[in-house]
Amino acid sequence: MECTRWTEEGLLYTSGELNGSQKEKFQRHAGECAFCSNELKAFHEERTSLFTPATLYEPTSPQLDARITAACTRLPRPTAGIGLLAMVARKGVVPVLFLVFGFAGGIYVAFNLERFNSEEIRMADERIDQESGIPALPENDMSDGVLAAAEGPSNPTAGDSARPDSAGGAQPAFDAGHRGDLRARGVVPVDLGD
Amino acid sequence: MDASERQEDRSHFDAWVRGEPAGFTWLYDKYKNRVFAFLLRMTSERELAEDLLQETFLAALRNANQFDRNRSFLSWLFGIAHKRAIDHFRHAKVEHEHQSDAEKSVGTRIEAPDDATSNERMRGLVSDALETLDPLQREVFLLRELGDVPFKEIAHMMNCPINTALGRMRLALRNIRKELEKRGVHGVH
Ligand SMILES: [Zn+2]
Repeated sequence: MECTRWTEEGLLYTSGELNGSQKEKFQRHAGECAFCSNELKAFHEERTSLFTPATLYEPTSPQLDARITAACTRLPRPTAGIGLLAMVARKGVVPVLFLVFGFAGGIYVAFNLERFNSEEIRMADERIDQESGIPALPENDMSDGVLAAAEGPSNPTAGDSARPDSAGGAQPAFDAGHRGDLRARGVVPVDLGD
Repeated sequence: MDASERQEDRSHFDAWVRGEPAGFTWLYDKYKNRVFAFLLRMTSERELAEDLLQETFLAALRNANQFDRNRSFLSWLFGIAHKRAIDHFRHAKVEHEHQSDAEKSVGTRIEAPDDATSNERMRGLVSDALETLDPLQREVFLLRELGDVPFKEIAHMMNCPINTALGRMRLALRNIRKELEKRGVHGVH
């Protein structure tokens, strides 16, 4: 009669999966149970004569061995040093970083453009002033000095009458020189008789 | 497999992972015929079994960090091979469990020549007996006898209770004996 302990314990005994006390327990049982004792003996004989490498194993071809060996022992390529970069490029991180840095750079430029421009203008003004010999004026004098001087030649009468200080003796050198120049060309200033 | 043999396997595996080809060669030469026999009997297709053998060893290298140092390397390798074979069937949507034995036997039969030696004859007989088994019984038998995989791990791989795995092994052994007796090979019974 078949004994259930063969399946439950006997097979685990043959695979070495029983712990010390379980192993002893089954050995004691096999000593008393004909079925388990017979199964144990039969399986041992089958393993040594039937289920052997000669009957169960399957040889591989030399071509297959060469192919698998090549695939499994491939040495790291010389480009291994840039492996991280290659990995990053493969995963598309480089384009993402490019966009992020590009965007950040754009924001930086946008925020600083105004400062750049005003700085450039100030420097250009200083350059012009230095070249023309006119000292740089404080900002609040721009309308009375530089601006008036610029408007002067195109509208001398309006310029003279509009400016209270033009009637006095303190004529700017530019103004006097310019009037002399106009007279020489036959242009006589109108005397408003103030 | 004793502790020193396991240790030897582990040190060769470590060497392979470090990039030493000798580590791979040692393990491949030792286990290729066992794993290939398993894959060939599982798939019934030589070319497919060859591809799966390559995938198995490559997967072992790729997943080296998942290797539990307390386990046997061979059992772990068989776990990978088993998963590869099952995944193949899943992807191919092949219900291999329900295939007839005749279909399963195509390409796996190991023909013994007329003037075969005793060993070759026995090889043919065992092969024939294995082909008559229910595929699930054969799967347990091959994992156990070729891969030395513990029943506890077989149950886990096959997603079944350990008693089911043990029951399949008992039936596999009984059916192999019956088939061999039909062919004139008698054991102790
Ligand atoms: Zn018993």
